[in-house]
Amino acid sequence: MINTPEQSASTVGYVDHKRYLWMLSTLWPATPMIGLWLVAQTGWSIWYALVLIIWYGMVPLLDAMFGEDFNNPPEEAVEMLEKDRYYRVLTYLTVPIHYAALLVSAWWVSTHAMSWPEIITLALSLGIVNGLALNTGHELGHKKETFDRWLAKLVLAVAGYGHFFIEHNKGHHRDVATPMDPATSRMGESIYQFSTREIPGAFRRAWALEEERLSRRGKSVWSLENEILQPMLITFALYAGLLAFFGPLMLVFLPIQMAFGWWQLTSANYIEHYGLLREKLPNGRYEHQKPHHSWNSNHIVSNLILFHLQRHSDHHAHPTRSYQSLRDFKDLPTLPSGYPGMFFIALIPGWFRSAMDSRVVDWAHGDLSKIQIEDGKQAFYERKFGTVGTDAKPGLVAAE
Amino acid sequence: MARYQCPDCKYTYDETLGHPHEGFPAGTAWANVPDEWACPDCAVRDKVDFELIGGSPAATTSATQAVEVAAAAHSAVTVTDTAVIEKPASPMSEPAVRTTGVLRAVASAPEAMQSEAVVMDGKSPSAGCKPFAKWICITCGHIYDEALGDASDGFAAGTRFEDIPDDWCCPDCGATKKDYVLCQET
Repeated sequence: MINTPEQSASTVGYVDHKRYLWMLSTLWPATPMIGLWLVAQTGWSIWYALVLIIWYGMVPLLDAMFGEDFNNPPEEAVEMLEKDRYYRVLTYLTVPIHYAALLVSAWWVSTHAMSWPEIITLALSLGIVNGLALNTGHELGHKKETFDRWLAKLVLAVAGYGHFFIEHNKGHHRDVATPMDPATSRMGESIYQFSTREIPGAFRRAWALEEERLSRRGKSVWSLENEILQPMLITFALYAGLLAFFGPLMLVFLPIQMAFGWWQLTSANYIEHYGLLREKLPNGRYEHQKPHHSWNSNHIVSNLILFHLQRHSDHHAHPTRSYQSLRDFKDLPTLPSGYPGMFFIALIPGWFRSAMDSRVVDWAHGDLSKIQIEDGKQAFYERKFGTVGTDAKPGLVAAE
Repeated sequence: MARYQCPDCKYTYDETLGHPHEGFPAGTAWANVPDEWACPDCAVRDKVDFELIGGSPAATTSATQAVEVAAAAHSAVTVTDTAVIEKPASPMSEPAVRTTGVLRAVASAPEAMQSEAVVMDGKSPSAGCKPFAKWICITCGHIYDEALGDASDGFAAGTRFEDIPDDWCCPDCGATKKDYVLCQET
């Protein structure tokens, strides 16, 4: 069912002002192709870096200029929003654009005389877009329908990260903000340390989950029903095809764009739950995943190009809720900028810690025992922030 | 054959259908699903959080299994972290469960609910007033019980939900007052 905004408005009196702006999330992965077109028009190799410039430079500036959007759809409108196929179709349309971006870039590299810095720049630009492919796969992978889940596998295969939707949906969401989660970063941990824990840890957890599921069905983990192997095979076929068509340069180009795509995911995981910890209950279980166990960002520009991924608090509390109906809540732990700006800051560990550590401590009301702290950094943080104990619950700073 | 529902995303496990993709063939009793199994759709609730929403549990003829099922349902009722009401369901009675934001006793257990009302440590409405209601946060399951009020937020026992300021927020998750729905006990 695709409603016109007027129909929707007449049903519950609500008009989604961001409805058509969500097309930005669909179109933004096409940017490397626009960059190549600009190179062809002007001959300036700076356009190879178009995606990098927009992502790390322009979007953070636009986030600062346009600021935050606190609007929530009213609860009565949510059912209508969830049923409206228009929003889903936008995520479907993103999938072929990711394939086009990869194919066109690979073709360009193999058919144009380019210097090494130019090739690497283009590969990094494409890497950002691969990060977006993971974002699209994320949105699709959370849906219940088989069709959406297959599209998720297809789009994740572009970035060679097909195990993501098992790992993320069944692993990260279950374990988030606990010490068991390799995809939750600790306060004081740099993104570089985190990546050595997160990338292998995520794969191991996904594999174990899939092995467990298949063993219940009496199947070998090496069967074709393994949902990690399925997208992996698509990646092999795709990359082998590119290698056959476009020659040995692909042996350099493909790994760089793939690795930088993974880095985007690592960056997202790094900033999304930095330092946060769910409380352990007397029965040995952790408290439920609540909105204040994720860092949130309402920055409008970056949200519009990321299918609302940054409304991460509601997403983790209610993982099956679609991007168009994600809400903001009062008193959430909040990032100072949108993801692109935070990803850049994260590259410089001292800068990131100075932006975030005091926010984590505020979130925990100064009680360091309620924070996940990097091994060996405990004493450093005690000297810096003291060891104020309090019985207050985290996430309620402004309520008091 | 019974059906159990994830209180967060409403995924339903139906014993008749099982969940073959997850490795539970049609007819797999809920009792045979591992305790650590998480909801396959949202993964933010585990088996023990699931709520019985219909039918009667399969393969519960043995006494131990009946206790297991009742215990699972009991933790589903009290897992709201606030635990306004805590009363273990007796192994022999049908457990009381919450569904879709509506608190109700399943099948033949109205007496269980009544006995819960007795153990509540709150006020009773004065004669001629409508009975006290409970309101549940759709985000985290926190329950605001008018009979008990909320001392930490300064609402005395007996404070009606409509008398709470509109800018009040869920003390557990920060959701707004609008995110609360009425719990109806039927």
